Amino acid sequence: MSPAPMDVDRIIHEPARLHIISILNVVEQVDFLFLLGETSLTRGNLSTHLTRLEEVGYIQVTKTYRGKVPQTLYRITEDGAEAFKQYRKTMQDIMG
Amino acid sequence: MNLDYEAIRKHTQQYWYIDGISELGGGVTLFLVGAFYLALELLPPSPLRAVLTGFFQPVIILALIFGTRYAVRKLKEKITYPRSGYVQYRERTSKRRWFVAVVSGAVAALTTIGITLVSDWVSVAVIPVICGFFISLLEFYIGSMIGVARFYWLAAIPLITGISLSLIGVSDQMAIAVLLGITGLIWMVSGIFVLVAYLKRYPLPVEGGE
Repeated sequence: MSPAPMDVDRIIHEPARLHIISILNVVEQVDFLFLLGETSLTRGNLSTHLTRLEEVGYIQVTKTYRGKVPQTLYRITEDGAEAFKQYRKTMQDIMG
Repeated sequence: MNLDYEAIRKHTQQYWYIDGISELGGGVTLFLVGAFYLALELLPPSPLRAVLTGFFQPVIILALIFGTRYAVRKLKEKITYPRSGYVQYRERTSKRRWFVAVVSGAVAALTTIGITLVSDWVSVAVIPVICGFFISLLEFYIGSMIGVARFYWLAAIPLITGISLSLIGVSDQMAIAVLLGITGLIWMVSGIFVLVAYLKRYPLPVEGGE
């Protein structure tokens, strides 16, 4: 039986968050500036989506320093990777 | 939501080549290896030459490779990460590392055996063409793997250089030195052009952090 549209993970399904998680799925970790350039979101918007992804445990955030400059690094968690994999499978099943 | 995941993966990998620094580093390595071979070729047969060829050749090449990798990382920290952001790529798994090492070793061994066999049958003058072809093939493979178009143009250079050296009739050792030198030089020039364009496109942001 194919999954119903309501089975889709709403957190990941949002276009901006899907873009973010797709990037994080292929790297070890990235900083905020890189995600800003890749997603073309505003700083506030990107920050909001990242916070949402962190809240559900899909990404891990690390505050650090690059020299004297503060740097925030983002990486996908195991739960996030699994959720993304499941999302893609569900979407494939729905699309046929 | 229809997102091209493969395009995102490729685009993220291409980011390593956005600034031309890695090409610049690769070019410097190839150029210096070529210069080293040229120096060896110009040295008269002597114990020093034998020691340089036997012992120092792998040491110098490895030192150049690791030195360039370190310099590329440092330059990226100074130039790229503050302008367009930091990406840490995933390390290859040990299985994948072994696969790459075995395939690289096999290709190197086959190339050496191939050149040795061919050199018995055909004129020595063809060897630069064969070497140029293999270097071109490698660059073409890199270009196709990461999808950076300029690597296809760069791939043409060693082949053209190899054919030119063969037509001029440069000896095989000297030809390999010149081939590596010219290939390295072209990579350096390409890297500088890309770096200049990158610096124009990505000035240092005035405000930092998020």
